[in-house]
Amino acid sequence: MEAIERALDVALIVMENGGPTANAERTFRNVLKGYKQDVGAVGWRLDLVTVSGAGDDRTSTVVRAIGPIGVNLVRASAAAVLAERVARGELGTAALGPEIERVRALPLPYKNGAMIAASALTSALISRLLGADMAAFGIAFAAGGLGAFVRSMLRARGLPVAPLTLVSGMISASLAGLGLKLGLSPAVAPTLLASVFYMVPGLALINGFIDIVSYKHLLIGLERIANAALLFVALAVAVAFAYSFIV
Amino acid sequence: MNVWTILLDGLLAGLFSCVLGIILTAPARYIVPVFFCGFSARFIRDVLTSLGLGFNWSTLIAAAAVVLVGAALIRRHAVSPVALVGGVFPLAASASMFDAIMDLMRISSAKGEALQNAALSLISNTGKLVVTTLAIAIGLAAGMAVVRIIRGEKVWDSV
Repeated sequence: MEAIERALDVALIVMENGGPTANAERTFRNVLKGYKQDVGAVGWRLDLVTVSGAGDDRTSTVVRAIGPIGVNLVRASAAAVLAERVARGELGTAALGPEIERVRALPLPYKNGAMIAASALTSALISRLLGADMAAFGIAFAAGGLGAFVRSMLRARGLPVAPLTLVSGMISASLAGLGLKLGLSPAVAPTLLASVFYMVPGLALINGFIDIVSYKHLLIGLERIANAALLFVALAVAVAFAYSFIV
Repeated sequence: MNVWTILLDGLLAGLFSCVLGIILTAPARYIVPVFFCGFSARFIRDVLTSLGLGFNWSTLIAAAAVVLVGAALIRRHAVSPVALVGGVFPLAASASMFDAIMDLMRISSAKGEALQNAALSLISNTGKLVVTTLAIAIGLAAGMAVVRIIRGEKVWDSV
């Protein structure tokens, strides 16, 4: 049982930090290899994982809750590497506990300012890729930057993801709408869309598709896609709100 | 579309993928590979469409190319989704997705000819979104299969 609990500790780091389900399961089984054990079925959902296995003349099932899904791919990657080392025998199972704590404590690889600047640039660059002019590039940059700044402040206060996306989207889209209303650029649709693009739930969408394509993780894949769709609706509401001012 | 426009759009797509990689907290060592994935995606799709290949086939091939470029630049298998996410985003039908959702909102209040136009627009945008997304998914799966064959792994093992 200790082996399963430890393996789940490591696998859940992958899941809770934005890793694909297949990676989480591979990580789980790699840690078990270190304990010279294997289990039967592993069922993944966004809120819990169940592991079934037979041993000592009886079948047992372990259920473990999964915490909120965030994004820290450095942690997810470190957990996967840790499990590979355990599977290869480079790290003994006795040393696993402190290593798990070390991985859990890994900070985000970029400072808040860099993330805000990246968000602003994401909005600006996608506006150009959608065919907008340089004025729209500037509007999208400012709108994305301000929205990302407000988003980081609201996130620090613990606002849930959906309202956070809606509020930040409204701020970004409204600022972009103001620039368009002032006649700075004629490219209405690309500018409005670009202004909220930094919040597009890309990881959930891609992880969802990877889960669905793998076939083994169809249900959690659908959950991820549904989550992403909800956030897309929040962004569309924000864009529609700003669009109503312009027309 | 001339060569310079294709190159410039490719560079913009590469930069876009880079900053998206930062937002998605990709480790710093993956930022350069993510740039090349994004650049290849857009560049290959634009080159193929300018040569007369259909948009969806071009998208499919470009998505497969992203996996091959990612696998060539990032040796570790376990974290390649980081590059894939950033790399395929310049191919995504993001505008169609937003337009489809906005059409859905318009339909609820439109009447007469406006309603017909909104319904047609919704069908058109949804179709583009589904087919483009499907092309990306098939392209990614094909690329992964090729990488697995090259590495001597089971093709239908979990991705």
